[in-house]
Amino acid sequence: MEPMTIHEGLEAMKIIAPYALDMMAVLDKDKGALPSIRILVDGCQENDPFALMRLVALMSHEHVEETIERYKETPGIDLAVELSNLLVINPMVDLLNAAIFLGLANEGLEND
Amino acid sequence: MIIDRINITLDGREIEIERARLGKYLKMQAIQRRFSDATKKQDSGAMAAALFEFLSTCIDNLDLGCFNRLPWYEVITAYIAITLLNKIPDSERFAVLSSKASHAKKPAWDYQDRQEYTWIHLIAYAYKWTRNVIENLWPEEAVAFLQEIIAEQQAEREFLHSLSELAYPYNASTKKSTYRPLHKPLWMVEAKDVKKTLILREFLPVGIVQYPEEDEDYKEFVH
Repeated sequence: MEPMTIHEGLEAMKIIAPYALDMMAVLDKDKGALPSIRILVDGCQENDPFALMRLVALMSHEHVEETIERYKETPGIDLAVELSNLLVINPMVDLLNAAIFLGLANEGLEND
Repeated sequence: MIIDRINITLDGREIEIERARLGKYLKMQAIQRRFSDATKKQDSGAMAAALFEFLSTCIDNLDLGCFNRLPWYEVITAYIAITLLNKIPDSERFAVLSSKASHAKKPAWDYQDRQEYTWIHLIAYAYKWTRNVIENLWPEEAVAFLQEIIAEQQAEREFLHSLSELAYPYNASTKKSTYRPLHKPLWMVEAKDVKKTLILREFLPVGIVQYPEEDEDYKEFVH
């Protein structure tokens, strides 16, 4: 699987941007990336479930309809686990840092 | 020490990027402004176009087809590296850069990239240099010249204002005219505070921090 192109990457950053700071806050080298991904999955399921499918489609280089069909055919897939695999090819920390640096996720930053 | 070149990797090849002189720096500023506007509108197409234009300014013969196929992290890494390379060194020493942005209403004759032309216009008007000479300056030199030009223009305006009766408004209640100086721009008035940098709370040091005693930057901290 190839990493996302820049167009796909920017769309992915727009999807994760609202959760980027919370995801960074729970990143822990001992616990791995799963707690962060859970925040993303739970947040999207609450606010915009379609965004999650779009994110998986972007990272899988598929159309959203194809991704939805794939999930219908194999309902046992854990979305968080699939995301964690895709976020190995598209490094999650780099994606979060890029979203913050490019100004897509700057709400909540504070100066101490 | 100012770093004047870096190596970045794009599409499997290593490319050397040099720090930009004023001409290229102003072009990059304009593109970054367009990128920022696109970010506010969440327009990823415009953001990608701005990123391509930004990288094309620094990298010769960058093909659009190749750019569209590059991994996103290579593009973003290159963008961040070039942005950091071209930051004006010690920009906090220039009051004209470090004060808060003016929220003055844009004039009717405003146009896109006007700021970039204003820089060249002010320097050319003051020193009668050609555009080529001005665009060959380092950005920090241009900022220093601009600060001096604007400060001198302000001093002239204040002098002319002090000769006019407008500087001495008549107060009917006290039956006196008192001198009212001309307003200074914000950067000439406010004390130079250290620019606050936003950082995530998680990245701040916790507990007792050991500052290096020999380092000049930390000499005012208690050891």
